[in-house]
Amino acid sequence: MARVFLVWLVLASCIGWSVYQMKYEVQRLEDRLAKVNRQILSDQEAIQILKAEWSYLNQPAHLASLASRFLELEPVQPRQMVTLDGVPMRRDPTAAQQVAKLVAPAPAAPVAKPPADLDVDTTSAPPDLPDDAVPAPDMSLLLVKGVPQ
Amino acid sequence: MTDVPFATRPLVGTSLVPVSPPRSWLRRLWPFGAGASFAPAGGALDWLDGGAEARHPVEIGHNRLIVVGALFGLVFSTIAGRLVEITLLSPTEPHMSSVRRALPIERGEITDRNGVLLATSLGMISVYADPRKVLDPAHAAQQLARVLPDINEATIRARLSSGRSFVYVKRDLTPRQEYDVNRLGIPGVYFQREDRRLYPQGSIVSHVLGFSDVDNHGLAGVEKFMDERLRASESVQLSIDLRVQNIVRQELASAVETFTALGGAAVVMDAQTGELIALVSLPDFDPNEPGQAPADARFDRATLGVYEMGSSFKIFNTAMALDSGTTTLAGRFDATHPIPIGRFLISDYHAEKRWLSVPEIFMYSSNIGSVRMALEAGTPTQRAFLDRLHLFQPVKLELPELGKPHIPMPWRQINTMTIAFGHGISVSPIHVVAGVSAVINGGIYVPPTLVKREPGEVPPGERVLSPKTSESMRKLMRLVVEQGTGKNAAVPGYMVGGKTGTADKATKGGYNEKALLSDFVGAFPINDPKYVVFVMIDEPHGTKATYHFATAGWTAAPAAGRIISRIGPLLGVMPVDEASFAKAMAVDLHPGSARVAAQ
Repeated sequence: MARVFLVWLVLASCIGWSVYQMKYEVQRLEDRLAKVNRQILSDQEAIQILKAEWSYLNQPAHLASLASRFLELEPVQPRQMVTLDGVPMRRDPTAAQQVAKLVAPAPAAPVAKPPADLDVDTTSAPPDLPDDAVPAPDMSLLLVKGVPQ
Repeated sequence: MTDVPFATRPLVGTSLVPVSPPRSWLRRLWPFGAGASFAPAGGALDWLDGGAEARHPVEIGHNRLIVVGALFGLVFSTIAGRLVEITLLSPTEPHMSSVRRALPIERGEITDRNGVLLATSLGMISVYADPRKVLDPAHAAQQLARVLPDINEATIRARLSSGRSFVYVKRDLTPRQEYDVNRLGIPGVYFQREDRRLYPQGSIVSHVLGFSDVDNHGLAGVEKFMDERLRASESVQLSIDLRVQNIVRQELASAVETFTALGGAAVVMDAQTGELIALVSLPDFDPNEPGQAPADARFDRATLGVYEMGSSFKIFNTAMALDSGTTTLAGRFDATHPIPIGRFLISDYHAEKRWLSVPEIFMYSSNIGSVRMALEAGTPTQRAFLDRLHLFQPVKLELPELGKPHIPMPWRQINTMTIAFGHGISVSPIHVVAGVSAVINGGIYVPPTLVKREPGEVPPGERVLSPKTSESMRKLMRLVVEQGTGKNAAVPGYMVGGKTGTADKATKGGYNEKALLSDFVGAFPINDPKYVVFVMIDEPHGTKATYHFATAGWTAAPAAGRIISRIGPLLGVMPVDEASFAKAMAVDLHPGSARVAAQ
């Protein structure tokens, strides 16, 4: 009788102990879950703010002013766009002439040049290359191959 | 009852005690003795152990224990059963109302076609007060005004003194201000999290986006049109390309400034899909602060404003005449003398004073020739054609601000004549763009849209004119840019074609020759049109550089040319060798004569 009682007692206290442990483990996990959820929320909020800021900093006018200050790049002109087929092979003996032809300034357009006072925005309207600007073929102009996206 | 010792009372509550004596089959188990009267009435104490002398007390105690044990057993097994059911048989997620997994953004985002954020909502802290709980409104107002410099102390004091239960002190605090207000510790002043609509790109896309109020209701533009979708936290991707939009806006702004105009509108549309790549109206406003903009700046000239477009309507007039078959590219009309009509005289701006061929009429923008073409086709034909091009109804576009065209009622012969050169009918720029797009893209009217289409998605269109007419119109529009009034819109390599239009603005009782509306509608590359470009300048004034001309050829056309030369590379349009297309696009200016087609 006493042995049976002892077995039950041990069993009951084991179960009691594990229920106690389980309860605190669950409590701990729930706390962690709540904390992680809070963290996710605040991260999402931060991402939202950063996205807005990124978009704000990427305002085209802002980028244009930065580019004109720090980069030696200009917007692509229609005549700078060449397909890969248009670029001569290096072995081609006439390659130099062909390249020179490619990068030569476009023939004068049959257009009345827009009045000078229209070019208010000098950062966005790239200056025309002077006619004598291409003594030697400038290969860098050919880097724009195909279609810029 | 009072003198009964507590311990001797029955263990079961009085509510369990039956009023009538137990039935016979229960009697053996019944712990309180047989035939006992339970009613306390009578004052006897025999209900307690009534008839106890008949049973042994041990037996009674035993029976009582069994009953109590059984009841406890029942309760515990119920609990156990329920426990098993909840945990093992039908387990459900723990209900945690306090846990929010998704960001509580009330309104969806708006992005451009490349995913650049145009409108978003950010959580902001607002401070409000319950005036009934504010002890000293004057002191509280003084303290609040000190940490929040942009509020008016007197206003706040008045608000705090009102008997209401909720007043805003200030919305959208900075974190610093929130900290400061919190530190004041004024009773009755509370914080609240609210969403604030933010437009990071400022005024670049203002008229398209519109704006929403502090309570996140869309009040204008896409914000209003798609209010339900946005409020369901769905995001919207527009067809607008921010880079193109910015270029178009810059060039239009520069033209408006140069010619000291009232404003302007410019549109770039994909001629095949109807997607609007850029939609600009100037002056515009900052959607972050819409209240500070004057009404004129909030007026969308591109979609809501309707204007008499002038000669650019000759695109529709010529297409109508060619498509109805009343004339061909070889047709000729007498433009020798102005046409008197009523008290007006229809004359030519670039008068040639001779018979002109159809291409010449279009190239020189001859009003006389156009009128004669329209008269030959007839009023019903003209009316039906313009109706087919959807010029009589507001355009179907994802905006609430859509102008209804002004069309003549009734449509007399004089209307037919004036409409031939774009007077007497007012449509919005978006009408012109959609119509011209149909004229040149092979004859299919595609409804314009502000929502991005999937790549390769072919929108349902309707055929409004024949492919042959469309091809003729492309040649004619190319001719205008090569040799006519649109030379200033030419961009080497991009095969621009278009038509200029200059209209006298209608005033009370007539037309004002000093107030012009100059517009240019073109497409590139015209041999295979990809994009339609429209530029309109409202009341431009000539400058020295334009020899004081304010007509479209000097104002709108150069702006369109600059726009095309800048957006062409961006949109991935490959320039072509224009000379190789010269023959294909050539038009015989003097049909029937021995002279070769002009190049």
